[in-house]
Amino acid sequence: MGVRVSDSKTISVIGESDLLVIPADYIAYLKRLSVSNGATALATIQIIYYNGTSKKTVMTLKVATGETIVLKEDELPLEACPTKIAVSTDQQPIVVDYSVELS
Amino acid sequence: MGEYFFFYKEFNPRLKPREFIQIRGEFYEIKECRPMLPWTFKRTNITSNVELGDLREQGLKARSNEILDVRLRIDGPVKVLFRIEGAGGDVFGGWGALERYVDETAPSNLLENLIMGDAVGWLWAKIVPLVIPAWCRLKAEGYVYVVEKAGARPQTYATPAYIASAYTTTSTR
Repeated sequence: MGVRVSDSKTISVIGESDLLVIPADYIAYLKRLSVSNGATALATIQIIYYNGTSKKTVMTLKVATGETIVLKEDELPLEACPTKIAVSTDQQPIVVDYSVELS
Repeated sequence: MGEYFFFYKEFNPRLKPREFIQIRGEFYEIKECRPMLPWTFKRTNITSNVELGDLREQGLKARSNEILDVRLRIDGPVKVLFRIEGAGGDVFGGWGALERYVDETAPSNLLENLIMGDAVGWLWAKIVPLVIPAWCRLKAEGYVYVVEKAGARPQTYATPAYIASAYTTTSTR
Protein backbone atom coordinates (compact mmCIF):
# COMPACT_ATOMS: atom_id res chain seq x y z
CA MET A 1 0.00 0.00 0.00
CA GLY A 2 1.21 3.42 -0.77
CA VAL A 3 0.74 6.70 1.01
CA ARG A 4 -2.79 8.10 0.82
CA VAL A 5 -3.10 11.82 0.38
CA SER A 6 -6.36 13.71 0.11
CA ASP A 7 -7.15 17.38 -0.14
CA SER A 8 -9.75 19.84 -1.29
CA LYS A 9 -9.04 22.85 -3.45
CA THR A 10 -11.26 25.73 -4.43
CA ILE A 11 -10.18 26.95 -7.82
CA SER A 12 -11.17 30.51 -8.57
CA VAL A 13 -9.10 31.17 -11.67
CA ILE A 14 -9.99 30.22 -15.20
CA GLY A 15 -7.30 28.14 -16.86
CA GLU A 16 -4.88 25.68 -15.39
CA SER A 17 -4.10 25.24 -11.71
CA ASP A 18 -1.89 22.74 -9.92
CA LEU A 19 -3.68 20.15 -7.88
CA LEU A 20 -0.75 18.15 -6.54
CA VAL A 21 2.95 18.16 -7.24
CA ILE A 22 4.19 14.60 -6.78
CA PRO A 23 7.16 14.42 -4.43
CA ALA A 24 10.42 13.01 -5.75
CA ASP A 25 10.63 9.22 -6.15
CA TYR A 26 6.88 8.78 -5.83
CA ILE A 27 4.27 8.18 -8.46
CA ALA A 28 0.63 8.99 -7.92
CA TYR A 29 -2.53 7.06 -8.69
CA LEU A 30 -5.75 9.04 -8.57
CA LYS A 31 -8.19 7.07 -6.43
CA ARG A 32 -11.12 9.41 -5.99
CA LEU A 33 -12.13 12.73 -7.48
CA SER A 34 -15.05 15.00 -6.78
CA VAL A 35 -15.69 18.18 -8.74
CA SER A 36 -18.32 20.77 -7.80
CA ASN A 37 -19.27 23.61 -10.07
CA GLY A 38 -20.12 26.84 -8.25
CA ALA A 39 -20.31 28.91 -11.43
CA THR A 40 -23.45 29.99 -13.25
CA ALA A 41 -22.62 28.09 -16.44
CA LEU A 42 -21.63 24.59 -17.52
CA ALA A 43 -17.99 24.01 -16.65
CA THR A 44 -15.59 21.96 -18.78
CA ILE A 45 -12.89 20.60 -16.56
CA GLN A 46 -9.76 18.78 -17.66
CA ILE A 47 -7.53 16.62 -15.53
CA ILE A 48 -3.95 16.94 -16.72
CA TYR A 49 -0.99 14.70 -15.88
CA TYR A 50 2.46 16.16 -16.18
CA ASN A 51 5.45 14.04 -17.07
CA GLY A 52 8.37 16.36 -16.51
CA THR A 53 7.61 19.30 -18.73
CA SER A 54 5.28 17.45 -21.07
CA LYS A 55 1.61 17.19 -20.26
CA LYS A 56 -1.32 15.01 -21.19
CA THR A 57 -5.02 15.53 -20.69
CA VAL A 58 -6.24 12.29 -19.19
CA MET A 59 -9.86 13.19 -18.58
CA THR A 60 -12.44 15.81 -19.56
CA LEU A 61 -15.52 16.37 -17.43
CA LYS A 62 -18.61 18.50 -17.99
CA VAL A 63 -20.16 19.68 -14.75
CA ALA A 64 -23.48 21.54 -14.74
CA THR A 65 -24.16 24.56 -12.55
CA GLY A 66 -24.41 23.65 -8.90
CA GLU A 67 -23.71 20.00 -9.61
CA THR A 68 -21.10 17.69 -8.09
CA ILE A 69 -19.52 14.78 -9.95
CA VAL A 70 -17.89 12.05 -7.92
CA LEU A 71 -15.58 9.62 -9.68
CA LYS A 72 -14.36 6.48 -8.01
CA GLU A 73 -11.25 4.44 -8.64
CA ASP A 74 -12.60 2.42 -11.58
CA GLU A 75 -13.78 5.57 -13.36
CA LEU A 76 -10.45 7.36 -13.10
CA PRO A 77 -7.33 6.90 -15.24
CA LEU A 78 -5.47 3.69 -14.38
CA GLU A 79 -2.11 5.06 -15.23
CA ALA A 80 0.12 6.76 -12.71
CA CYS A 81 1.14 10.37 -12.77
CA PRO A 82 4.87 10.90 -12.29
CA THR A 83 5.26 14.64 -11.78
CA LYS A 84 2.20 16.81 -11.26
CA ILE A 85 -1.59 16.63 -11.42
CA ALA A 86 -3.24 19.78 -12.68
CA VAL A 87 -6.80 20.90 -13.38
CA SER A 88 -7.97 23.19 -16.11
CA THR A 89 -11.38 24.87 -16.01
CA ASP A 90 -13.32 27.34 -18.13
CA GLN A 91 -15.56 28.48 -15.28
CA GLN A 92 -14.96 29.51 -11.70
CA PRO A 93 -15.26 28.82 -8.86
CA ILE A 94 -14.98 25.05 -8.80
CA VAL A 95 -14.14 22.84 -5.86
CA VAL A 96 -11.98 19.77 -6.45
CA ASP A 97 -11.68 17.10 -3.77
CA TYR A 98 -9.21 14.36 -4.49
CA SER A 99 -7.65 11.34 -2.97
CA VAL A 100 -4.36 10.11 -4.33
CA GLU A 101 -2.18 7.16 -3.57
CA LEU A 102 1.53 7.83 -3.69
CA SER A 103 3.53 4.67 -4.16
CA MET B 1 1.33 -2.95 -8.79
CA GLY B 2 2.53 -6.28 -7.49
CA GLU B 3 1.56 -5.59 -3.91
CA TYR B 4 -2.12 -5.31 -4.72
CA PHE B 5 -2.71 -9.00 -5.23
CA PHE B 6 -5.40 -10.19 -2.91
CA PHE B 7 -3.30 -13.02 -1.55
CA TYR B 8 -0.15 -11.01 -1.44
CA LYS B 9 2.52 -12.63 0.61
CA GLU B 10 5.46 -10.72 1.89
CA PHE B 11 8.89 -11.36 0.54
CA ASN B 12 10.68 -13.39 3.17
CA PRO B 13 14.44 -13.43 3.69
CA ARG B 14 16.10 -16.44 2.11
CA LEU B 15 18.86 -16.78 4.66
CA LYS B 16 18.87 -16.67 8.41
CA PRO B 17 21.72 -16.00 10.84
CA ARG B 18 24.11 -18.97 11.24
CA GLU B 19 23.43 -20.15 7.71
CA PHE B 20 26.09 -20.13 5.02
CA ILE B 21 26.33 -18.98 1.45
CA GLN B 22 28.90 -19.54 -1.24
CA ILE B 23 29.91 -16.55 -3.29
CA ARG B 24 32.68 -16.72 -5.86
CA GLY B 25 34.05 -19.86 -4.32
CA GLU B 26 34.25 -18.41 -0.82
CA PHE B 27 32.01 -19.33 2.08
CA TYR B 28 30.31 -16.72 4.18
CA GLU B 29 28.33 -17.01 7.37
CA ILE B 30 25.23 -14.88 7.79
CA LYS B 31 25.64 -12.89 10.97
CA GLU B 32 22.61 -10.68 10.76
CA CYS B 33 19.58 -10.28 8.55
CA ARG B 34 17.57 -7.11 8.44
CA PRO B 35 15.19 -5.42 6.01
CA MET B 36 16.79 -3.08 3.56
CA LEU B 37 15.62 0.47 3.29
CA PRO B 38 13.96 0.72 -0.11
CA TRP B 39 15.93 2.22 -2.94
CA THR B 40 14.00 4.26 -5.47
CA PHE B 41 14.85 6.01 -8.65
CA LYS B 42 12.55 8.12 -10.81
CA ARG B 43 13.10 9.64 -14.20
CA THR B 44 10.46 11.66 -16.07
CA ASN B 45 10.05 13.01 -19.58
CA ILE B 46 12.05 10.24 -21.23
CA THR B 47 12.13 10.85 -24.96
CA SER B 48 14.93 8.52 -25.99
CA ASN B 49 16.90 5.61 -24.58
CA VAL B 50 18.48 6.47 -21.25
CA GLU B 51 21.62 4.66 -20.24
CA LEU B 52 21.42 4.70 -16.51
CA GLY B 53 24.61 2.74 -16.42
CA ASP B 54 25.88 1.26 -13.24
CA LEU B 55 23.15 1.32 -10.59
CA ARG B 56 25.81 1.43 -7.88
CA GLU B 57 26.30 5.03 -8.90
CA GLN B 58 22.60 5.62 -8.28
CA GLY B 59 22.95 4.23 -4.77
CA LEU B 60 22.03 0.57 -5.19
CA LYS B 61 25.08 -1.00 -3.63
CA ALA B 62 26.13 -2.95 -0.60
CA ARG B 63 28.96 -2.64 1.86
CA SER B 64 31.81 -5.12 1.48
CA ASN B 65 30.58 -7.27 4.38
CA GLU B 66 26.96 -7.17 3.27
CA ILE B 67 24.81 -8.97 0.76
CA LEU B 68 21.73 -7.24 -0.53
CA ASP B 69 18.89 -9.54 -1.49
CA VAL B 70 16.80 -7.21 -3.61
CA ARG B 71 13.65 -7.45 -5.60
CA LEU B 72 13.18 -4.82 -8.24
CA ARG B 73 9.96 -3.31 -9.38
CA ILE B 74 9.49 -1.23 -12.48
CA ASP B 75 6.71 1.30 -12.97
CA GLY B 76 6.05 3.28 -16.09
CA PRO B 77 5.59 2.87 -19.84
CA VAL B 78 9.13 1.68 -20.44
CA LYS B 79 11.14 -1.44 -20.76
CA VAL B 80 14.39 -1.69 -18.91
CA LEU B 81 17.45 -3.56 -20.06
CA PHE B 82 19.17 -4.95 -17.00
CA ARG B 83 22.64 -6.34 -17.07
CA ILE B 84 23.52 -8.41 -14.07
CA GLU B 85 27.21 -8.65 -13.44
CA GLY B 86 28.28 -12.26 -13.39
CA ALA B 87 24.93 -13.64 -14.47
CA GLY B 88 26.12 -14.66 -17.90
CA GLY B 89 28.22 -17.49 -16.58
CA ASP B 90 31.85 -18.25 -17.05
CA VAL B 91 33.00 -16.97 -20.40
CA PHE B 92 36.34 -16.65 -22.04
CA GLY B 93 38.52 -14.23 -20.15
CA GLY B 94 36.25 -13.74 -17.20
CA TRP B 95 32.73 -13.79 -16.02
CA GLY B 96 30.01 -12.64 -18.38
CA ALA B 97 27.02 -10.51 -17.77
CA LEU B 98 23.42 -11.35 -18.54
CA GLU B 99 21.19 -8.85 -20.26
CA ARG B 100 17.43 -8.98 -20.26
CA TYR B 101 14.63 -6.61 -21.14
CA VAL B 102 11.87 -6.39 -18.57
CA ASP B 103 8.90 -4.12 -18.11
CA GLU B 104 6.43 -3.45 -15.34
CA THR B 105 4.58 -6.71 -16.00
CA ALA B 106 7.60 -8.68 -14.79
CA PRO B 107 6.81 -10.09 -11.37
CA SER B 108 9.26 -8.87 -8.79
CA ASN B 109 10.14 -12.40 -7.69
CA LEU B 110 11.71 -12.87 -11.11
CA LEU B 111 13.72 -9.72 -10.63
CA GLU B 112 15.46 -10.82 -7.50
CA ASN B 113 19.19 -10.88 -7.19
CA LEU B 114 22.01 -10.79 -4.72
CA ILE B 115 24.48 -7.96 -4.62
CA MET B 116 27.56 -8.32 -2.49
CA GLY B 117 29.87 -5.42 -1.79
CA ASP B 118 30.59 -3.38 -4.86
CA ALA B 119 31.97 -6.22 -6.97
CA VAL B 120 29.47 -9.07 -7.07
CA GLY B 121 26.09 -9.08 -8.77
CA TRP B 122 25.80 -5.38 -9.39
CA LEU B 123 23.33 -4.09 -11.92
CA TRP B 124 23.54 -1.96 -14.99
CA ALA B 125 20.41 -0.61 -16.63
CA LYS B 126 19.15 1.10 -19.73
CA ILE B 127 15.65 2.55 -20.01
CA VAL B 128 13.88 2.23 -23.34
CA PRO B 129 10.65 4.25 -23.62
CA LEU B 130 7.58 2.47 -24.99
CA VAL B 131 5.75 5.75 -25.58
CA ILE B 132 7.21 9.20 -25.87
CA PRO B 133 7.45 10.92 -23.48
CA ALA B 134 7.71 8.11 -20.96
CA TRP B 135 8.57 7.98 -17.30
CA CYS B 136 10.09 5.31 -15.17
CA ARG B 137 10.35 4.54 -11.53
CA LEU B 138 12.54 1.74 -10.24
CA LYS B 139 12.24 0.45 -6.75
CA ALA B 140 14.34 -2.12 -4.93
CA GLU B 141 13.26 -3.70 -1.70
CA GLY B 142 14.63 -6.60 0.21
CA TYR B 143 17.00 -7.66 2.90
CA VAL B 144 20.53 -7.00 3.99
CA TYR B 145 22.57 -9.97 5.16
CA VAL B 146 25.63 -9.02 7.15
CA VAL B 147 28.21 -11.70 6.44
CA GLU B 148 31.57 -12.85 7.65
CA LYS B 149 33.95 -15.13 5.82
CA ALA B 150 33.76 -18.69 7.18
CA GLY B 151 36.95 -20.38 8.32
CA ALA B 152 36.19 -23.73 6.72
CA ARG B 153 33.79 -25.24 4.23
CA PRO B 154 30.42 -25.57 6.00
CA GLN B 155 28.34 -28.73 5.70
CA THR B 156 25.43 -26.99 4.07
CA TYR B 157 25.41 -23.73 2.25
CA ALA B 158 23.36 -21.83 -0.29
CA THR B 159 24.74 -21.65 -3.81
CA PRO B 160 23.08 -18.71 -5.49
CA ALA B 161 22.93 -18.99 -9.24
CA TYR B 162 25.48 -16.99 -11.20
CA ILE B 163 27.61 -15.77 -8.33
CA ALA B 164 28.44 -18.90 -6.34
CA SER B 165 31.28 -20.15 -8.49
CA ALA B 166 34.83 -19.05 -8.23
CA TYR B 167 36.21 -17.08 -11.09
CA THR B 168 39.37 -15.32 -12.02
CA THR B 169 39.59 -12.21 -14.12
CA THR B 170 42.83 -13.49 -15.57
CA SER B 171 41.59 -16.78 -16.97
CA THR B 172 44.17 -18.46 -19.17
CA ARG B 173 41.86 -20.95 -20.85
